[in-house]
Amino acid sequence: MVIDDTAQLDPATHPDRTVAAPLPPVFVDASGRRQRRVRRAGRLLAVPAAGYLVLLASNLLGGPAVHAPFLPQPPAQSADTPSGAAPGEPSQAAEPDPAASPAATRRAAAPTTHRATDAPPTGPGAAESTTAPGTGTPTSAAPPTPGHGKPSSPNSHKPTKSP
Amino acid sequence: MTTPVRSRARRGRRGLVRQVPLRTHWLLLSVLVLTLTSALLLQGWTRHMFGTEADGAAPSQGANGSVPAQVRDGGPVIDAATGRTTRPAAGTLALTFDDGPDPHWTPQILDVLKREGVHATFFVVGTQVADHPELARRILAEGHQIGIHTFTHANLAQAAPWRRSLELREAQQALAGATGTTTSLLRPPYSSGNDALTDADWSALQDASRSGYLTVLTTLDSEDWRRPGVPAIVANATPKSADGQVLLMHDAGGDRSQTVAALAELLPKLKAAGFRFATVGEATGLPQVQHPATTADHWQGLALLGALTTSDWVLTVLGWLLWGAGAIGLLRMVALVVAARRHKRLRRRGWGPPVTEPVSVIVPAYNERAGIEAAVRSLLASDHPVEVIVVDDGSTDGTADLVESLNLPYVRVIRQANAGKPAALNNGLRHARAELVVMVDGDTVFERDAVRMLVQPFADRRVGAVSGNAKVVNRGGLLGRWQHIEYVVGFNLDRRLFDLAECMPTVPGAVGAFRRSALLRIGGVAGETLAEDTDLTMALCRAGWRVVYEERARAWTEAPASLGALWRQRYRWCYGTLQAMWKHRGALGQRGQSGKLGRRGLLYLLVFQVLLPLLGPVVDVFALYGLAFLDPVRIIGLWLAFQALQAATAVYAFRLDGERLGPLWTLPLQQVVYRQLMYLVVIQSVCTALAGSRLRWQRMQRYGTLQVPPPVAGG
Repeated sequence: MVIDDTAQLDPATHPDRTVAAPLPPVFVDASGRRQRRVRRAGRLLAVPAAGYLVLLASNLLGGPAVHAPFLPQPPAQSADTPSGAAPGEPSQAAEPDPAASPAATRRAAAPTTHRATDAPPTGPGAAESTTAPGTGTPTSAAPPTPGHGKPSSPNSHKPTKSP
Repeated sequence: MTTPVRSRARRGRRGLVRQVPLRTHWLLLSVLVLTLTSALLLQGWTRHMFGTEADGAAPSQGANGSVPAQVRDGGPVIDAATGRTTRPAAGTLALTFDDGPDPHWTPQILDVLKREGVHATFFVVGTQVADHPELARRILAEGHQIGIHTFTHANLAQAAPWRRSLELREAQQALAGATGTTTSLLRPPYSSGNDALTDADWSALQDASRSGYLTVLTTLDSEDWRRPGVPAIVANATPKSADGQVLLMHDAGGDRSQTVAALAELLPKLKAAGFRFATVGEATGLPQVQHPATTADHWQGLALLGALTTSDWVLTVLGWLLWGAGAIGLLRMVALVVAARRHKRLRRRGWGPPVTEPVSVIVPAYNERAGIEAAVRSLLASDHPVEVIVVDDGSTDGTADLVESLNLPYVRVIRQANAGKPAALNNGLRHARAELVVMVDGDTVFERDAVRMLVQPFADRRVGAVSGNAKVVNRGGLLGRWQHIEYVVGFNLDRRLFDLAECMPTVPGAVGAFRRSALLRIGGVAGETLAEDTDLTMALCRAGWRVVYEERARAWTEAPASLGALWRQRYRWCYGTLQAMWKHRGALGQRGQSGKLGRRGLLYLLVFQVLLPLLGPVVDVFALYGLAFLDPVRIIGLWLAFQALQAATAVYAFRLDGERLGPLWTLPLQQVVYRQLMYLVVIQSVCTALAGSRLRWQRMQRYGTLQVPPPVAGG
């Protein structure tokens, strides 16, 4: 494949090239070594590409298994919140502070008291929400489901879904 | 669109017969094209099907009969499998941020939260996590919680079940790859409160729940995505009661400076009012929201991140390459037209005193029985004195006998054992009596004045070879028309450019004239390449001779009539051209005429006949990608504009040659079969050249329909 192309142009070295023995064809590598090398280079391209395809397929087909934790009972709302009040709905609270201030500030004041007790407002049974979704029995006077309101003790209830 | 037309292949050459098939390159090409397609599909999905509408901008509409009442009126954290819900404890605010992480806004929000000692929950978009994994890690490291917000911010309610699943799994993988954890929390994009759930939303939530997710909706929307101003956001985000709330804000998806400012104001204010801030998990008492990912999941996630980064990178590179190719193509069209105009003006001057000396015409023939008589007779009918030398290269169909039996004056027949076309040409050169020789293929028919026109440029002492104008005689059918267009454009534009730039790489074997002394001095016709005409022309250029184009010297030639024949012809041309280019690569660094060939001619061939065709498959895949994912109107517009330009240059070339414009209607159709054939030939040739395989010298079927067609109207 190595062609001495300057020699051909020199009439002195090849006075009559028309009868000279032909040079081997350009590019042809009779030993086959280059073909092997090219195949190897091709593999070097194909293997990562195929790997990419396999990875992509595994990504599209797989994914981590996720297991939802057991949903605790809704924590009790503050005692002054009527049970089942829709979130965000201004509750007509039986707040012992009928200050005529704007509702927001009035409501905002309420949690301070809870905060002072340094505990989630685990009120009496009346504080239970009307819906106990797990059981599907709306019980307004049901006994409190102990512990569920406390975020600190959820582990006592194993997620039923997890294996 | 360029074609250096040259002689046909019809020789079995000794030493080139053993064929080692190299087919693995098609496998390689398929794998690479498939990979590119997949990377583009991934890219198209993650970048162009991304739900860019703001969360609140798509109010849910539709029936909600299937949403259980306990959910509609329940808390914002929903287990759709059981229909149970929960809500944050009273006085607790679960601050949530959607759409992130964003490299600009998320760090600012994290800074504010850190300063205030507040933990929040970030519902992240999978592609964003993939782009900024370090932000996802920082979110977790600073004690916040992460939920997913799908992979591409898709509207799950409107997505097919497989897409819902895909969106969740890919988002989870991105998270697992970036942080090594998984999460059980999902906030569906375009969701709001429980009361806004529709049936479609509910079915999406149920699907998600089957995959193990709890859905977190909102109870309080800051509406910061509207950018209503800091005070409005603060007002929106301030609870109206002491109830626990899930507050919605955004840390990405646009300018979030108002969110950052509002947050800095809101947190101290609400804290002062007695609210407690917590993550969704803490606020609702969920036992565990974040789980460590298994090693396999982590690596799979890393693989996804890697795949996304790779496809990003590959696409950027290829995108630039394509723009570059487009720009070069455009430049080339302009250069071609400008050069052709100039060339035409220069030609009006003429070559000097008329050349009237006799000419030797060499017709190498191998099994040319079908066309040889027409070819020889057309030469004898010339209006210039000629002797015709038919060199029979060991034909087995009696070509030589046929010519001898015609008993024509000024025609000699030389027989040789089959030794290949270069040997036949050299044999003819030795027997030629005139200093000016014309080389003709046995299947080419000359016009009456073609020989005279072809030798006129030799009035210039510097001219060593002249290229004539080969025209396709069989223009029927799509294939015939396509080749006709290609020949007309190739000859009238490319060749004029080469002529002006003094770097003509090919005098076609079908119609070319040479100085015999110049040929002998460079050693005659060499046999190392399959394109001996290109090799010869380049050698002449390098020896300092000028090679010019004379468009008035017309010869008619038969083009391959089937795709298979065309493939074989082009394979040989392309491979032969590569061989000649490689053989003469030394011209790149040389001075004078040789350097002109090297730096102009060879580079032009390299760019437009090798590199750009190699990009061909990428162009096609990108075109389909653009139609599927980008603005199809823009893609089609771009394509039409390029077509129009190409058509305009083709029209100009046809005008220059006095051709009827009729066949040009097939030009846009070239994009489908012809173009692919052309680039696949180049790929095949390059692979063969690299591997150094031997290949058979293909031959072409002849039909003997040749004759000079009647002059065209308007010529």
